[in-house]
Amino acid sequence: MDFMLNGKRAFVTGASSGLGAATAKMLASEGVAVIVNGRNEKRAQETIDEIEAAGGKAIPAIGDLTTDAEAARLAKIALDTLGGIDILVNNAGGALRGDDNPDWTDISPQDYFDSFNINVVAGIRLAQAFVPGMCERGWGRVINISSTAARQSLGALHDYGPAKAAIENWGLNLSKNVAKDGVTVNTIEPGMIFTAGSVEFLHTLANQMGWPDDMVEIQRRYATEVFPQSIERLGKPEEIAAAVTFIASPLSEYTTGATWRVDGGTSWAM
Amino acid sequence: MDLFLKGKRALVSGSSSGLGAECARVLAREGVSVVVTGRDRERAEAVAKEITDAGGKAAVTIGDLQDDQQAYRIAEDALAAFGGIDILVNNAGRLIRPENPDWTTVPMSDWIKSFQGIILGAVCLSQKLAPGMLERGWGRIINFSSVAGYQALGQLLEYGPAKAAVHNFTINLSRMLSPKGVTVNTIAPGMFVTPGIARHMDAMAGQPGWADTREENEKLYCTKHYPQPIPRGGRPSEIAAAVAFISSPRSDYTTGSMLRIDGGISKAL
Repeated sequence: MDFMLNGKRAFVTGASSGLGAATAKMLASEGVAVIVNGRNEKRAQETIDEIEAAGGKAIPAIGDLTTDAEAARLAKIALDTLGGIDILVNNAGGALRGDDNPDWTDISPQDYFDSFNINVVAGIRLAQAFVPGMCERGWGRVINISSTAARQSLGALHDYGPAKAAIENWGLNLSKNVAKDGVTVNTIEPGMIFTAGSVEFLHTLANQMGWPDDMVEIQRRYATEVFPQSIERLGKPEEIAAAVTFIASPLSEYTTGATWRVDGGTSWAM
Repeated sequence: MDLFLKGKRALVSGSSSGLGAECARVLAREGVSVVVTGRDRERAEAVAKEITDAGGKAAVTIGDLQDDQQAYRIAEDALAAFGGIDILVNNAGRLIRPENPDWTTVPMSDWIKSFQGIILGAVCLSQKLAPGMLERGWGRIINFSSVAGYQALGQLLEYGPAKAAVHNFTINLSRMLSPKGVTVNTIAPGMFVTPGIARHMDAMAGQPGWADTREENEKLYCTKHYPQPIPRGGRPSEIAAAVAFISSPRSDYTTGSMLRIDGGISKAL
């Protein structure tokens, strides 16, 4: 199926690894010129090298999106090199205290500020930089990567779920403003995805639970015993990347203000 | 993008016209053998001929999903056509009272017809086709709900509840089937000028606030009567693409999920 993306220009945040890297690569394989944003220059370059080796086009924008000035500098790199951005994928983010999963009383107000900064405001900074151009040209995409934690409570990671809920709410609101100009705004809600970060978490969990050191079995135990879900494994980064690419496509022109779960059946609510 | 659908076999209900016919065409273009079904043999055969003329594979079975015996027979015919069904698209489900009468005058027989056509037909086909999918360890059930299942219209009361039931069925069934490789998902279309909506707009033609032609009424529908962010009806290709993408093994991790394709008309998250 032709996704009709050839010649479009995308900015993918957090594209130096995990979901962001997989998304950058898949968009590039469909003919999209991709700005690869990340904080780690070496890892971002690995993503770029892979894209270029496959015949695609990728440009680095290395830096952190948590200050206005730095986000503006990164946006300027994109606009200067590509002349405009048609597809913004707000993927960067995460649980600020995911590594040690503290009791909620140990999460400080500053942790919440920091979490909202990277999970919500970073995406808004870039949208303010790129969406006016999309509206002028009459076509564009904003795709926010949220999490099932936005709408399903974990009883944990209190800095994270509320921030993800906020980016979903913001995306829905923005979708109403820009639809008339041909710009859609949608959310993808991944469940637990097989990335370096989640593998590390699973190894820690396996140790604590005394599970055998076999990643297939560890995934199955996680997906049946810890957070039961329908599909008894973690998702693959490519499964999220494909959904992002489909929503980015002109084939999805009529889809806006939608939240789409790609979560292996982690969510229990309708 | 290769959707890896070549050689799969699909049954698309209500595929003799409208959204269903387009789903059948698009799946066939991706290399899927498609069973076309509807109530009108001539129209169903025309869709199948289009597919085979373009080099695809298609078979036809005729029947009415409002009758459970006919629904079961359609499933049997579909299984026989290509030796199994991997992808079931439950698209059929029409508006029983498009002329939108006063709700106190809609008899229970119409409510029953609405639930039979919209949800029970999908249940019958799923009952017969899911076991083979489970045996082979891969399958897709894609159910069509509607924005009317989630956002109250203040009219067509026999329609919205049945469409809401569709997604409840989806997510429940996904719990049962997905551990064994069969995903179950919902597509929730908004305003598409399907034959049902066309009849509804034709019924409104000439009435106060409406124009005389269907084209003008589509515009009025999306801007004045039911204003929506993208001020046009959806195109069947926009639904068919999503059906093909969810059918794809690339969507193996997507289950119990609903995708709204509604021009942004939904106000809720």
